[in-house]
Amino acid sequence: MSEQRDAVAGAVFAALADPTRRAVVRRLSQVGSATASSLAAELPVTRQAIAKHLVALREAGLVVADPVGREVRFRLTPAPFADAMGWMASTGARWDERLARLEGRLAERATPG
Amino acid sequence: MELHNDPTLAEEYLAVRRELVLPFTREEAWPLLGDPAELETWFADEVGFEVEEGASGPVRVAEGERFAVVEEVVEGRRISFRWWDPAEPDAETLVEMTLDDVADGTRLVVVELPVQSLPAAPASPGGGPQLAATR
Repeated sequence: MSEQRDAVAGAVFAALADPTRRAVVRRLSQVGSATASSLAAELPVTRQAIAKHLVALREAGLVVADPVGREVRFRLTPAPFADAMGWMASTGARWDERLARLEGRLAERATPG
Repeated sequence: MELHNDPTLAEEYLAVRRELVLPFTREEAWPLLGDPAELETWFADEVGFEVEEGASGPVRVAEGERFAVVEEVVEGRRISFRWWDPAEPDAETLVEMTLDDVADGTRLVVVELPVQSLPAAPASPGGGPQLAATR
């Protein structure tokens, strides 16, 4: 059930382990779609580096490339990000439960008698 | 670098981080992490591994059974382990639980993140102490 989602989330996290890729993702989330050249103009990295990171993001399924006329525009695919956020939410909720259990146990222990 | 002390952690790795202040000294609080029987009172229903580096075993939690490999144990201070659902070995995550001295007791910090999101994650058991020093 959630396992598949966790695996997808892992791919997202791996792709986002790089700061430039995070910057690309942030930029695409702001502008909707962009070419590699326009991303390179807006970020402090070369077009070549941007192209390399876009390949990694495409391979992770985070970005798709749309040919528009003579250029290629890149945009985010929302589903994997939702999976990653889902992993964070469910994992966080499990830790909340565990720490609540620990807190309850300590309260029991502290009760006089 | 220790994961729990990295303020950029959530931004860098999208890790889950939680903390709780325990009304004990670090020494008193340690068994809550270092003793499998104590871990079974709050962390999991069953903990089938010893708290020793390189130890491994099943862990039964509400969602089902997972398998864990202990990466690092710093007596009185920290335990970290990798664990995964055997049906989905690619979704392996790293858990680090650390005790810090604070004014009113001991702060327990837990961090969990997908192993794949660590830039240089070791792939084999016993990859150990250097784990927290990746980056």
